[in-house]
Amino acid sequence: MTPTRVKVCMLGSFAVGKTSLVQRYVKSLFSERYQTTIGVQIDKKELVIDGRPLTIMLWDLYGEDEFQKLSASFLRGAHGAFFVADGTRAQSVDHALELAERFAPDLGDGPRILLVNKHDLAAQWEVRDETLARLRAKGWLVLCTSAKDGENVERAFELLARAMLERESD
Amino acid sequence: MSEPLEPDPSRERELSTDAAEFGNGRSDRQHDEASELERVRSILLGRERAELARLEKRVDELAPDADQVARVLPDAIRIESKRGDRLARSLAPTVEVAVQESVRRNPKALADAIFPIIGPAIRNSVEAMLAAMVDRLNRAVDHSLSPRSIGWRIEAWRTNRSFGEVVLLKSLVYRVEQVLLLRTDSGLLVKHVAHPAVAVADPDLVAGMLTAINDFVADSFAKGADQALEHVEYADKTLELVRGPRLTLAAHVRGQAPRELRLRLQALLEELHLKVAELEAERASDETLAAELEPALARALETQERENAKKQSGAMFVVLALAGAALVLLAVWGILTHARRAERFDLIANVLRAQPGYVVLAAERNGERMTFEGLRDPLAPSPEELAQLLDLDFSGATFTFEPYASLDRSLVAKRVLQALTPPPSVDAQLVGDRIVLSGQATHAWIELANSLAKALGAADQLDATRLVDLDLEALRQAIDELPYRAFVVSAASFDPKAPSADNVHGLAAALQRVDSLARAADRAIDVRVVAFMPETVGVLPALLAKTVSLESLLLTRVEFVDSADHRFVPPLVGVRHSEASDVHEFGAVARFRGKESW
Repeated sequence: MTPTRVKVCMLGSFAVGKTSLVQRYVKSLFSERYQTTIGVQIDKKELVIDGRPLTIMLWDLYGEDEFQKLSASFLRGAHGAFFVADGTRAQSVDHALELAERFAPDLGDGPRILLVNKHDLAAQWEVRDETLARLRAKGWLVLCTSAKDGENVERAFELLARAMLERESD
Repeated sequence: MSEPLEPDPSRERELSTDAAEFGNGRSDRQHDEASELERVRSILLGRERAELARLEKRVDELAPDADQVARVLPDAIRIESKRGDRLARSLAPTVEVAVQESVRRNPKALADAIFPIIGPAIRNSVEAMLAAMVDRLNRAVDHSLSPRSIGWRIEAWRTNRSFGEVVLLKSLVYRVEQVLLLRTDSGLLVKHVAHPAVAVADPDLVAGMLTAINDFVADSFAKGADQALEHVEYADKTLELVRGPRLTLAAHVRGQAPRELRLRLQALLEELHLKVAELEAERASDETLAAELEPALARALETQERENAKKQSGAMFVVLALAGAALVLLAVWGILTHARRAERFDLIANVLRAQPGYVVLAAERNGERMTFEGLRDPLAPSPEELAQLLDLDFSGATFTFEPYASLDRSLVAKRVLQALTPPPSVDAQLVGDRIVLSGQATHAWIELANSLAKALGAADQLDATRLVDLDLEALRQAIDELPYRAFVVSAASFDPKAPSADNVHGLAAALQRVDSLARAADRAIDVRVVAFMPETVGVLPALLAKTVSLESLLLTRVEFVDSADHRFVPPLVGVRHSEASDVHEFGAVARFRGKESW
């Protein structure tokens, strides 16, 4: 049965711009303080896919660092996930992939998209095209995004939404 | 695939027919040829033709036929509907268009069809609305007038809270303000219901955050054990969380929630679990799920008021209703009284303003008390006399009027009449704004009356035409009685002491009387003395000088008329003329100076 509400988690390293990436596109009720206090900020994104409304509840999880590890319980029941990396920090891509692997059991076979953010900072770009090509070859859906000009943000939501609906209706 | 060759009955029939028709002229021959051809065709292709006919029949059977479709359609729809909502979704656009078209073509048909549904629905809606309104009204009355509510208002002001909040706090034991049903794992909202008077935040986000907090608490304090938040308290509100394996129920409660509420929520969650499992087994959509669960969730929005508050409210309502009715009556009475007082005040003010001899300078009304200030002519009736005269009620009114003299004609006439003090022989009447005098009076009094009227500005209002002037009458009479008898006086021999001089004395006395009467009557008179004396004209002055003082008679002119030319100065009345040369006739004529004459 096609759901009308889905849960999507957004994970990534500290300061890759997860919150900035989506804040213009979602409805927020709670302040960013929640993310640093209880570890998650919940936003809502409403879409219309093929004429049918879909509400994405976006769990924007805090950026994991050496002091604070992500809790798997926030990922329970998620239908899909965005893994966010910073294009100017190649290491953040590795970390995103590491998170994806670590939380694979919690996320099940829900669709996931790798968003390589800060695409507007081309001069400082560290992530090589070959790396992205390699990831795509492995089956990752990779999108280069920009929180500054909104590049690919709406598209990312739509792609993930379609993938989730397709999986749910199977 | 080939079938065994068998005699074809149709072919045999054709053969026998051909034999029977054989030998019937040219047309028969042509016919024979055609039959022959057909027979050959039957021999050669008979089996294939039969096969073809069979296949045609089969094809006809397989092609959809309206009748056949109609026969299977109801069952097909029923079966497909059981499988899910695919058919409904497919039909939805068509049904929408059909309904639109139907409404466009003939709206009445659809209106008639849904009338039985619409009527009760509207009635239910109106009933619900009225019930809510009455409830609100009861509460408003209950909470707006009682001493208790005044105390609450003070508390609201003191604690800087809204009055509504304090009322709820005081009059409710608890009220479940909103209920969220969410999926335990994902925190996704299944259904949210809220009390109509409660402002709610986005329930999707609240549901998510509640789950996140729950996870956070579990991770932080329960170390991953399957424990969770059950009860959150803040201010006068609590959040009751009842967690099931698949669903979690969150009830936001204002006030003191009893333990039983939690048990009821638990029972409700169990019921919902069963229902959701059933619906999901039927692959119901999220919308269907939400719609199906709403009534059960709405039941959880319970409210419990304080018993005493409830009981009191009934009695209090009656008391307040009576008090309200009394207030309304009092207000009506007040309004009427006010109107009546205002009307009376206006009436008194208008009466005073219209009354001659009154000048109203200030008129004020304060409740029942009325004050009027100004000027009043003492000759005008007093306010009390006016009230009696006009049959009015002047109670409650205070009058402060300074005296003044009005120039109103009626009051001026009154004033003149009061000053006249007429003698008993005079009757003085006030007719409208005129003073009518009748009877008799001395000339001096009449003159006084005229002067008085003139001095008081009412000269044209004094009517003395019916008043007899006693002095004038006496004068007239005295003049009438003047002796017109001729007598002869010899100048030479005139002796005032002689008896013959009596005539002269008599005349003089009469003239003196006239003179004195004329003075009394304030009349100037001319005395004309006419003497006819042929011998001498110098006798008379001497005579008169000796007999009467003509100067005292206001003698203005003495004319001597020579008898020779018989010249008379008209009007000349009472002149006696004698032809005797030695006889001198003497007559005297007195006449009034002015227009009058006799």
